[in-house]
Amino acid sequence: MKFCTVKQYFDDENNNNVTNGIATTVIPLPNKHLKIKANNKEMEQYEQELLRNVMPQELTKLILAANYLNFKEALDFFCRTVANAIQNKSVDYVRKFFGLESDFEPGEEEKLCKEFAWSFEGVDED
Amino acid sequence: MEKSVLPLPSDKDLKHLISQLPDDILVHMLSFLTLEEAVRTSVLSQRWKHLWPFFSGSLNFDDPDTMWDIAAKKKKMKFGRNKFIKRVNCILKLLRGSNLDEFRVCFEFNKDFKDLIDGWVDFAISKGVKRLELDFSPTWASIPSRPSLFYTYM
Repeated sequence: MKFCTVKQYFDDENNNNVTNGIATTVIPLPNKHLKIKANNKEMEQYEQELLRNVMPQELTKLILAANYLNFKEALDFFCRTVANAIQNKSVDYVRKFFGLESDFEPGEEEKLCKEFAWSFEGVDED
Repeated sequence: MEKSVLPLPSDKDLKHLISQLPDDILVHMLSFLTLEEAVRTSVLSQRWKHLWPFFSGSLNFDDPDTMWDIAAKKKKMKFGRNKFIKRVNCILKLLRGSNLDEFRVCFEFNKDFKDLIDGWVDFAISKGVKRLELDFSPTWASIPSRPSLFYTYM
C-alpha cells in the first residue's frame, strides 16, 4: 500500500516531520501520475512547472516527506527533479544549490579533480 | 527537454536540510545522473566523496571520440583500446553498490578479449542489471559491421 505512513501521519497530532504544505504537494501526486502516466510530454511539462515554482530547499523538504511517507513514486520523481537540476552543472553551482561548503584539506580537492579529470569534460559554464 | 536553471538559494538553513537527507537518498538521486556526473559529485565535500561508489544507475562505457580518431588514423587501436579497458576496470574496481540499472559497453573488441568481456558480463550480472548492452561493432571505416548484442531483463 502506497500510504502506509499517511494514516499514522493523520493519527499523530504532533507530527513535525511533514508540514501541511508539503503534504499538500506530495499526497495528490499519485492521482496526478495516474492521470498523465500515458503522456510523457505532459509529465515533463509538470516537472518543469514544479522546477520553476519550487526552490531547492523546498525540493529537499519534499524528498524528506516522500521518504517519511514511504512513497516511492514521489521519491523517484523528486530525486529525478533534483538530478535534472544539477545535470552537467559545475561543482560551484551544485555546491551553492545544496548549500554545501568544501571541507577538504588543501590540495585534496585538486587531487580528486585530477584523478577523475575524464568526468569533468563537457560541463556547462555557469 | 528545455533545461530550467533554478535560482540559487541564499537560505543558510539549506545546509541543515541537506544534512538531514540520509546517504541512501543521496545515492538514489545520483542514480538518475550519468556515471560522469555522479563521479563529479565526489569533489563537493567529504561526505559526497564516499557516495558515488554506490552509484546504481546506468553504467555506459563508450568512447565515440576515440573510435573516430582510430578510424581517421589519428590514434592507434591498441593505444585507444588499452586506455578504454583501463578506465572501465578502474571504475568497476571502485564501485561498491550492490545494484546497477544498466551496463553498456560500446567499443571495438575481437575474440582475443573474450576473457575480459566475460569478466565484465559477470560483473554486470552480479549487480542484477536490468539491461545489458554489448556493442563490439568495429569503427565505421570500410569493414562490414558485426552484430551487436542487446539484452533487456524485465
